Amino acid sequence: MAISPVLPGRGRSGEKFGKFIGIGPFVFFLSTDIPLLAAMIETLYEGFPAWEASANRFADFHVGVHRVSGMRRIVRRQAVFDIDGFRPFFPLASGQALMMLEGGLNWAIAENISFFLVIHAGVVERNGLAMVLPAPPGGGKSTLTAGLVHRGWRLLSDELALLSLEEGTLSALARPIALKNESIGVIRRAAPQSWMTPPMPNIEGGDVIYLKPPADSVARIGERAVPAFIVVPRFQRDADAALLEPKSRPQAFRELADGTYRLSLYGRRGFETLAGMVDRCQCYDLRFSDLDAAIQACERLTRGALRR
Amino acid sequence: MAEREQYWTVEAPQALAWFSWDTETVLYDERSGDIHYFDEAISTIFERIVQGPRSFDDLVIFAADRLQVVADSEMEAMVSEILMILRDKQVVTPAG
Repeated sequence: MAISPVLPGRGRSGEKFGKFIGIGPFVFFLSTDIPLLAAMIETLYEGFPAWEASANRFADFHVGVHRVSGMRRIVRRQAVFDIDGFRPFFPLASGQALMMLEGGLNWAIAENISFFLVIHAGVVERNGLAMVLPAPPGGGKSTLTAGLVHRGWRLLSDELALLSLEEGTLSALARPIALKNESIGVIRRAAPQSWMTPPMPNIEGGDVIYLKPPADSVARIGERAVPAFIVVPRFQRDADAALLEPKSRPQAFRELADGTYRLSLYGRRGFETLAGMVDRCQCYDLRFSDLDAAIQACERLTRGALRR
Repeated sequence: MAEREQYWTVEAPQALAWFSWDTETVLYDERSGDIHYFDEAISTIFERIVQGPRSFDDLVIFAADRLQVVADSEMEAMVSEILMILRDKQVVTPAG
């Protein structure tokens, strides 16, 4: 396990980091005056297209996490997220700066992008077949996503599926995967070669870490994928190791629709795009208590599809 | 109970988009932005009316055949209830 308690050095306190970073179909300008956050960005987003602040580039969003100035700073070190000069969230402890940044990037995409349906789901791909993993709370989506990408599946996204309204294909973000509490140890054991941030306190309690995306997924970030499977994971401690059961398409549609940001804004086109994806996919529920068995169940699915 | 001679038709077919999977239907109504979920019985009646205006009797016979039950008074009551549901959602309307 390559957890680095001391991250690659990045300037002194007060020195400002700023870079344009291409994350899938979007360009973000990321800035911070927190050296540890700058170092984490450099490490987690290694291999993503990036340009220095002096480059004259267009950015879809200018996003930053900066120390809070004034009295607050004396009482407690805090940081605040801003996007294009707007601060949508309350400040958090500066030790949670990365979590704030990642959550802010999700917010920016989910609430502002209009040429994709943005669905709360993980997406992985193998042999050209994409698997969408919608996310009931505590379902184990991120754990399964992380497990699959460290068994050779390509990471498109851990958190947000981007479904094209034009083509019905899925675009990749390949951003770091957030793991919480028990999932951290599970993935440490399953993928000991992967790089994780040190644990930080989650705003919902417990710990969270961010797992660096595999280099191959980052290198192939521009490749879109065709949705072939919808698998709704549900971790149950007392379940069989892994039980994959067919799911009705109306139920799969309902769960995806519930997890689609601002679906009503897209009207008929949004409905037809989402329902069209469900129509073309095989749909399953996956109840699991063992990550290895769950990964094998997913692999059997794709092998079966390729044989057909 | 709907009148037996009454014909039923889709209220605004151009405003509706739907997918029927297995025995169920998911329907989008562009006028309201609502998404409706129809079970097998409602889907059966909707599917028949989409083909063109249908009488109450026709719907009872079609549904009984599709659902493999007898076209008796219970079936009539069920079809009548479904028509009221679909009318309340402004999906179907009495024709003429």
